[in-house]
Amino acid sequence: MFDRLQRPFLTVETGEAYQPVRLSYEILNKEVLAASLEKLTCIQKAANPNTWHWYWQGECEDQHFESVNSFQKNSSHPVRLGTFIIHHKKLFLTLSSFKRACLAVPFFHRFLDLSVARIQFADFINKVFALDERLPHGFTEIFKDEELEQIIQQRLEDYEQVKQKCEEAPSAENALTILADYTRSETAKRLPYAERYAFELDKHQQQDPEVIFLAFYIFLRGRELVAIKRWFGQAGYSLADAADSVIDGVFGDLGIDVID
Amino acid sequence: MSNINLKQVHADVEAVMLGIKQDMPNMLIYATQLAQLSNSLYEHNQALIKGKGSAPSPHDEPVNSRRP
Repeated sequence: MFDRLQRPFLTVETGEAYQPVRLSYEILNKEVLAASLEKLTCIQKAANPNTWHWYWQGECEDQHFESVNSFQKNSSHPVRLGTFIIHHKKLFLTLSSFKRACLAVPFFHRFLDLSVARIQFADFINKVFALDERLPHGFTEIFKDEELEQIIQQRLEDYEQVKQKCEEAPSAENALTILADYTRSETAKRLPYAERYAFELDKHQQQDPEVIFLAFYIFLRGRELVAIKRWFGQAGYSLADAADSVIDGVFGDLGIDVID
Repeated sequence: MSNINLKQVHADVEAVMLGIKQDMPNMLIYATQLAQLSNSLYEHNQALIKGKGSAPSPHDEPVNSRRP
């Protein structure tokens, strides 16, 4: 453990922890999709077919990474932020950090019309890596569709069961006890190695895109904090602690006290 | 300023509700903390309305000061 405390974890060029993320889009119009991507100066077609690289330039030049104040941008060698690939009639955007994923989702929402491509999932890894650790070789090795789907389906079932119990509870106090007990037992569990975030659980619901992006950020930000704190030896650090930290980060400049 | 921040809190609540089905226990914790924050904001606004906003109190310590 002491050895680990001395070691930094692997980071990407823009300073964030290396944590592979894969965004999956449903393709609704492949021809327009390719044209929409190639219209952007931050996108360049790769040598492989159906593949495009996303660079930190052009339309996304002003994207901000807090951790790279000292980073010197080289316009002749822009940083590659991610790679798009069309595979099995789906569009995947592979990225190497949670921050990049949180920037990519709203960014491409502006340029990819919903009639062309629609975001479905984000698959990601709940850990940070050592500098000399063997990295996953390709995303198919780490993201097993069946396992990720099973985790999410289990959570949806749990949600429905707890909801049902709360609705049948004799009083509001009983319902709150059910929720508190459930929360206590579940938050103590470790997060799975790989996880999936679904963007459209309720397709019929019209939701403000900003809220969708914020929900994704909240989901990932907490998990990133847990992975980093645990790397530095805080084995008991949980998503509950992370929630506290995220709220403090977002609302901490209000200048008022928060009720304990 | 408080109204803007209340909007932020409400946006967060909406976002948490969006993610609650796929991570109920953790989103419940987040929602509880937002509810506490919302209460604080409400009390802060009420104090301002009643003209007590500038009076120093033990609760005037900024949230930031809790950070290590």
